[in-house]
Amino acid sequence: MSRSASTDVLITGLGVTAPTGLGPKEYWNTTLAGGQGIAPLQEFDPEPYTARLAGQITGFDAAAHLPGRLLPQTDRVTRLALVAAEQALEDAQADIGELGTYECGVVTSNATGGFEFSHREMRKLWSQGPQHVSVYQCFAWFYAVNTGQISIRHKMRGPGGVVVAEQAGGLDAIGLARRTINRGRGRLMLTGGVESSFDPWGWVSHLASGAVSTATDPAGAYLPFDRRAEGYVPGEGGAVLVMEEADAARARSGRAPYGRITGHASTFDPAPGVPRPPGLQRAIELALADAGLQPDAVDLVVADAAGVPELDAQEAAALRAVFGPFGVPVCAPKTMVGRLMAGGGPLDVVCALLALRDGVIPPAVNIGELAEDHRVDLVRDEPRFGPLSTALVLARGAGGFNSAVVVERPLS
Amino acid sequence: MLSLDQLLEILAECSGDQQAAAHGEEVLDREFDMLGYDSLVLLETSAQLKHRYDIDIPEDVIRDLRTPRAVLDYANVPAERD
Amino acid sequence: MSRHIVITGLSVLAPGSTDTEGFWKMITAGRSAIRRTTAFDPTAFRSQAAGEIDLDPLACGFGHREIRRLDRAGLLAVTCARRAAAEAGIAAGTELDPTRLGVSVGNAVGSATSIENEYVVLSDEGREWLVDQSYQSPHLFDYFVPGSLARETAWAVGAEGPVSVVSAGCTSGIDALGHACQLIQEGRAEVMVAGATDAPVTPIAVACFDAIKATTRRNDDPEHATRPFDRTRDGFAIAEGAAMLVLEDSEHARRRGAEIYGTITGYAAQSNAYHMTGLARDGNEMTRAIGLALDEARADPTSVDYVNAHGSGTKQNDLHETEAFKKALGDHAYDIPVSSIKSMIGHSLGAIGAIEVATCALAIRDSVVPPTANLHEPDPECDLDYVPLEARERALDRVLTVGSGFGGFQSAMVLEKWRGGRG
Repeated sequence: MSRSASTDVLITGLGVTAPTGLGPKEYWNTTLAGGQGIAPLQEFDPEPYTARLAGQITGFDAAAHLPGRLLPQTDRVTRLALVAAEQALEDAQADIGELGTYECGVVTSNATGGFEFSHREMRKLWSQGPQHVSVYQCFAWFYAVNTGQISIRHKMRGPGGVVVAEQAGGLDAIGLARRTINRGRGRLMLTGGVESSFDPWGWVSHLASGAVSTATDPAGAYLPFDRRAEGYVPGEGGAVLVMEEADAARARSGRAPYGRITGHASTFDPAPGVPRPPGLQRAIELALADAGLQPDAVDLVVADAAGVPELDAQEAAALRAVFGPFGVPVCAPKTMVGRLMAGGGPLDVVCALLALRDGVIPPAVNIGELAEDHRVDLVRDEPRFGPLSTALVLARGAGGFNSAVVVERPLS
Repeated sequence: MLSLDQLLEILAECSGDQQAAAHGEEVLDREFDMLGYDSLVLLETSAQLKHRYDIDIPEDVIRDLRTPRAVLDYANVPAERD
Repeated sequence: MSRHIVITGLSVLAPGSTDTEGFWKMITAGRSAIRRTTAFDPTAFRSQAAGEIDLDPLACGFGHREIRRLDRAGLLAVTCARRAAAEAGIAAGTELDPTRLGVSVGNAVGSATSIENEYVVLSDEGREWLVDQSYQSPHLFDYFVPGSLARETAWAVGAEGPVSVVSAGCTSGIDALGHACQLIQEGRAEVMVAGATDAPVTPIAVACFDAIKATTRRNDDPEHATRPFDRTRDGFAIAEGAAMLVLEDSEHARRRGAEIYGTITGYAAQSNAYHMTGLARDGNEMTRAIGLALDEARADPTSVDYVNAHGSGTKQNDLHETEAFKKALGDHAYDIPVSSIKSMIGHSLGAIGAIEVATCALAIRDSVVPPTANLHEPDPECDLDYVPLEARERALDRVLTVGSGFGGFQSAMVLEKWRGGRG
């Protein structure tokens, strides 16, 4: 096995299913306006549970977006993923048939599977018996389902893959898709991640992380870097992106690319009790090295923004170590949607691409006074305008996963 | 007696595809393949026939029933099974 | 400069044995470990045969806290990882830079057993849709997200490089190893502990394969229940298992004088974009995966000495991959042994691919091809040499293993005998 030279890899299409909008346009408009996607749970009464706020996609009518025959066999998460994938391909004006079915692949991330579907089937199993379990359970619940269904729907017979690393997995999927193109195994890859598991059983499982905010005011629940930070709000949705090898993209009559993915790295924190530093700073440095960039080239960091004081402090320390105190504008669009697990990183990459395109950094919302020690330049309340060429997107997953992606404006 | 409408309703539910149901008797002799019902839809349909109407079509049999008429014939003439 | 990936340690936990050599002895003797399911009472289920491991976590060195925190899939993964790391001489405390050590864990269904156990308690056996949070285990979140399996593995070997779960259904094992190889080639890690784990012998997993009739109904004779390529086959036996391999850059292995099992020279993964569970008879995407993996290995199809088949024991699979072998290898497909170890240890979903890669490494080491057990009446449509019943001695320079999974995933990997010094 041999390594190919690094190829220029473009993002040419975006698909978004987020609490702040279906489609990149609605998402971006809401994000720039500092909109609020966090609200009390709507699917069931969350009163019995210790936390009640989530970033939910409201009014999503799957039947309006997808053929009927995909509905009995899909969980909500897969419906959202299929919608995001279709949006992205349409946005890229990509014709899989024309590009070649074997040249087009799918790499996604997902950390909780088709949880509600599985919940219903487990309920049937335990209350009615094993003969009542649906034939669709065997694939609707597993983490690979989105890649499988997307590839089937769009006849993409190139490389298929799924990587999982809790909240960091979405960026790792983007890294794997880029590598697939670099190795000459595909010209076009759909990549990203989508998450949704807000049935009661999924909700309780989310809460079991122990770090979900118990606040009841949507404006005061998820406050990364704020001195009042006391946890995060889980969100659902994510993003799917069309990634293309640059020459192949230029050769077809598609839209202008949003940007390039030029670096990726992932690292892992030391085991508890091991006296070594956490891995986020290393992930940043390795991703920048992968992109061939120095820290001063970075105009914007889309932060992981844990919302947990200790983790915020770790992220701030990593940013200070690489960029210096207040050394780079930091953006936290998650404050509007919550933490989307595998969907979070890809949605933040969409945010970064659109920020570079429009020369504007969206504000973090609800943030009051920052914890003094952080010394980060968090963009909040109002968008900040100015030319931007390079962004760094960070994600961390529970357990110690760190991932970083470098996004640059397209070459002119 | 299992009626065609009952069968088509279950097929539509299990597949999410209402088209065949709308065509009623026209589809009696169409093969499930042509109607867009794959083996999973038929397995799910056979499970639902059991749960709702206590009609038991063994898995080795359902595999060979290729049209709505074949399913109805099997379901409605239980004596011939033995 | 291109890098060569070598295997310097491996460990298998599979039904019927408690360590690698036990496993290897069993499958080369052609013995099946499939038995009546004991993990739960299977009476109400269609398929009542399973491949189970008689795991004694205390004897494997786990403390009581770890036993509570880790799902069975985690216990299997960590046990294999520790053993493989020890064998390779990279266990914690050695000189290896932790930041240059990564982990890649294949897994299809996460902590399915623990999740279901928790569900049963919190829902009062399915009675409550609004599950009761007050009964939850402190480790529920670990069971909820499969990343915890990679985390536990990383902690066990002290990895701080790239760490992830690869979850492409039943090809996860091969794909996790392929991912690891590529990370080393890109210089993102020097050493990877990579493999896969799954522990799906739990009611919901058994019931979901019951529903699609993919599993065997030969409940009165579990030992002979799984019969890939046999005319009388009727499905696979669900199983648990794990395998972990230590992979490293050959230069790195040489510098530290590590013993080498073999080298991984090619890998490819394709989607068939056909059906979530069905396979097209033409086998085109598996053919393509094999072709790409051989290309990467710069190997001619006629140089393959053995094919470790997916061989799950469903008719659909047997025909599909037989066709793919013929297309990818041409007439040579008729001249080489092809076998399925699932006939003996069942189908451990995401884990099996890694167990099969480990099997290939052991086969190369010992010049032995493991057989396909329970193959007495070959399906006339499957007309290759499936090594029925008895292992064969055969010098193996280059072997191929393939996997096929729900979602349309088709993967292939090429392993070779290591001829040190190659440039």
